[in-house]
Amino acid sequence: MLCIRFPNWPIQCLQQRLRSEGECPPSLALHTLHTAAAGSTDRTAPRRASDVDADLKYLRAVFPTASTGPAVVAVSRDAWIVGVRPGMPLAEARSMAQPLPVNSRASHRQPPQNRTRPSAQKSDSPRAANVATTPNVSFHEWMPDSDRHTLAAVAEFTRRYAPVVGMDSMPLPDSLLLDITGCGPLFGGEAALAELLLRDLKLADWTARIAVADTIAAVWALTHTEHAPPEVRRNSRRSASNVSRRTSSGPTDMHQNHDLPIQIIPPGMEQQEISSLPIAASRLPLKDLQILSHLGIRSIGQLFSLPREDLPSRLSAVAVERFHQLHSLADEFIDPLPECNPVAAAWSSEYPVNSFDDIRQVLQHLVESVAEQIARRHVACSVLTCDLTCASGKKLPLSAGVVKPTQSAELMFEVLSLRLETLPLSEPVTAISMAVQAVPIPVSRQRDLFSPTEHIRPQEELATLIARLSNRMGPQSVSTIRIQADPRPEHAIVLDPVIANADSAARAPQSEHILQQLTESDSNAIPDIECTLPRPLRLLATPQLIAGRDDDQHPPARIPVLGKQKQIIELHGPERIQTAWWTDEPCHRDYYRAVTESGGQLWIFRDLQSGKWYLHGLYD
Amino acid sequence: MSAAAVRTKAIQSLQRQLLATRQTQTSQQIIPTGLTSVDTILPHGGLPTASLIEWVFDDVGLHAASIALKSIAPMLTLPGCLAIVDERHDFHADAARCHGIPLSRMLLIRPARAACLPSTTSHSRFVRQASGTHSDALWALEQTARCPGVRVVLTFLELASSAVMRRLQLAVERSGVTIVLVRPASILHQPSFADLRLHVTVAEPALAGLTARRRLIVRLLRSRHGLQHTGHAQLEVDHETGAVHSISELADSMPATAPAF
Repeated sequence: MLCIRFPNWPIQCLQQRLRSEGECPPSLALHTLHTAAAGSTDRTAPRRASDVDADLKYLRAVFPTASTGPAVVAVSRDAWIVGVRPGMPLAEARSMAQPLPVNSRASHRQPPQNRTRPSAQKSDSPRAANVATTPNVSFHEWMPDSDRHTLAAVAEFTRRYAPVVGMDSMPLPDSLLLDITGCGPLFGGEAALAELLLRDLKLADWTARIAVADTIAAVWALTHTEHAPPEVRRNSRRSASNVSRRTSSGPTDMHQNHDLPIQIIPPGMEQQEISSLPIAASRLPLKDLQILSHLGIRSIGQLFSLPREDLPSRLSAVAVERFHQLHSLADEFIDPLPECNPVAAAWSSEYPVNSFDDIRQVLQHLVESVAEQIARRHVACSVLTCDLTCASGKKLPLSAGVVKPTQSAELMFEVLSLRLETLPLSEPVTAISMAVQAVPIPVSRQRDLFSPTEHIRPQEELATLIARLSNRMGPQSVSTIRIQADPRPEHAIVLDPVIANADSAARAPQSEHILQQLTESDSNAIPDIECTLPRPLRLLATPQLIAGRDDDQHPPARIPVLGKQKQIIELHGPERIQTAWWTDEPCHRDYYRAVTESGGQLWIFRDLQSGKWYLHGLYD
Repeated sequence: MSAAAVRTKAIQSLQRQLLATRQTQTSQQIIPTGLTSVDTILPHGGLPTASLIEWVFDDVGLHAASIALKSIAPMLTLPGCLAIVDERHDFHADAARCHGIPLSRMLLIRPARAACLPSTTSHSRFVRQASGTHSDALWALEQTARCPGVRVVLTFLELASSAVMRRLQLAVERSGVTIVLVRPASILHQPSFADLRLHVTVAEPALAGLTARRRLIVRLLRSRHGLQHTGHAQLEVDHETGAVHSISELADSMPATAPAF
């Protein structure tokens, strides 16, 4: 993994924009507007409301002043020297940047944006001279989606170094993640690749820091650690020959190395290298960082020393996941940005097609075309997306995904045909466009000396089956199962769709791992029977009401079970589950095992709040 | 050509066809269920792979699916996953853990409910998606049964035509997958295409529930290889853990007629 971090990214974006317009003052400051959603004014950029909202929410958490009024978000080095700081209310920042001269009434009447510095020769007092030497600060409105748009453009610029480029998943992203697996030898090694990349970025007037390591968590932590405030950190001018090449031979001075523009961590050394980094580099949510701060946890190494099993009870689920990613216990994958020049094909006709067989033929033709393109580019397809334009102009989206990226035209066409069957098509089609989300071809590793493909075949077959089922019945129909530490029976398990989202190709390597888990026997995965609770094998999605309020606290003698009346002859229990009072779905229940006259067993409960009885499960 | 030569040629032709059929079929293995008393009544001391197995229950809540899960857990030592085709959307995987099923090997297939499917339109040329949940479940079951990456498929199946069952039978013979069907007693009058049909009933309904452990009886109703054992197996469900155990019948309480020594 390679991470490129652009320090003080909003200011760098602004500087680039102003340079393109011909004027770029050294002192710059970005500020928010009054309203919460007014951070975006870039009408040309593809706005993703959720991303921008997340950015603004994060900003308000970091700078509480931003929630009450306009506040400064980022400042350049020269503006910092003046005294303007991120998080400062805009009015205060303006007054800080331009202290009013005592004798200058004229400038007092001018609007803030157009004020000019009183010249030195006009004033004789020392204060006036001091004011004259103070640089002016140019205030600009902050546009978070424009920053994201620019970062995506830079990602396209770096695509020649790695086929998979993604944006940092944190709010207010300022870095790019590149999967450079197998790309190093093409540039003379990973260090040479990083040097070339940094040189290209410098030529394009970007200031960046690069880290190369095995995990995303490590490269992110290394690039986001600095010992001076980002706004005043002097841009590194060291030559590429100063690249830090750390080896396992001995410890190095972390404070020096973290200021180097390129850091390359040898495989297996990530945890040792990031242990000394501050806890802020762990990507934990702010609330969890505050908790850890109260506990005196300052570095990632201290975080590693905490007992792992206690973390879920103290930290949020996101924080626990981040911890596992730092510890290399959980996989993390890049969410790739779509290419500017995608693999695509299109068809249109003056004579619309008016049957499924004709549409299928057109799709087959388009699939063959895109299969040829992806074979030529040495990539594979993870998701196929089509737009069917009807005669009335209405557009119908159609997408199909596969579990394991493929180059097979047959498989792509098959899953697309299955998806087509579920499309609510009611009028003839005049045009079809098709695009492919291209990802690297998955590498199959031989694990058996004598049969190199024997272990792959069941996985390939299973991948095809899952793709077929998911595309015919919907992605949510095929899922793997995960246990969740929640006492509420209906929340005890979580279903993870194998093909989670047709728009995401980030799960491609994860899918391979899932397939391996599903098909290969693992003695460690066998559950400990003693640690399980006796739960019914059939749990009704919605508990079925069997009786209203009963003050005697006994269920009725006869209850309806799946349309038939059953006589209850025994009742065992209760097992009280009373939890989740802090959520929208509190659980205050007494569960009983009820035995019917035919020997069948039911799982019923009495709601402690309403006094009503419900049937929740059947011991089938 | 003499009649004997014609007969010899016909026999040779049939032998070739038989050989070809055998080559396309997957060889069966016998996997013990881990429940000793059930293994005793099974033809070869275990459940055959590449087969169709029916577990029939008299009433809901008789742990028939739990016993079925417990019996197929040893099959997961072989490569391949356990697929659950859950048409009713009520399979609770947490309960499967107490039968030794690792959740990491489980693939849950839930056909979308009929309400979730796109509504059909009046334009007949384009109407193709009139299938409901049940037909989707049958389609998913057959697709899964044809996939060699799957080791066992378990499903609750009440209604299935002879054609469907025959298709499933052919699918398992081809792919080596084992299908386990949990079915109500209402299907007992229907012809069976299963290799094994086992019937779960409760032992002494009036008394069985009085103890913390519950006894169940498993009878082998049908076997493709013939009924070698006409007895039944006794099982016990531990309600503290939910686990299913095998119990042996007690020895005859009559004293021996001759001294042992």
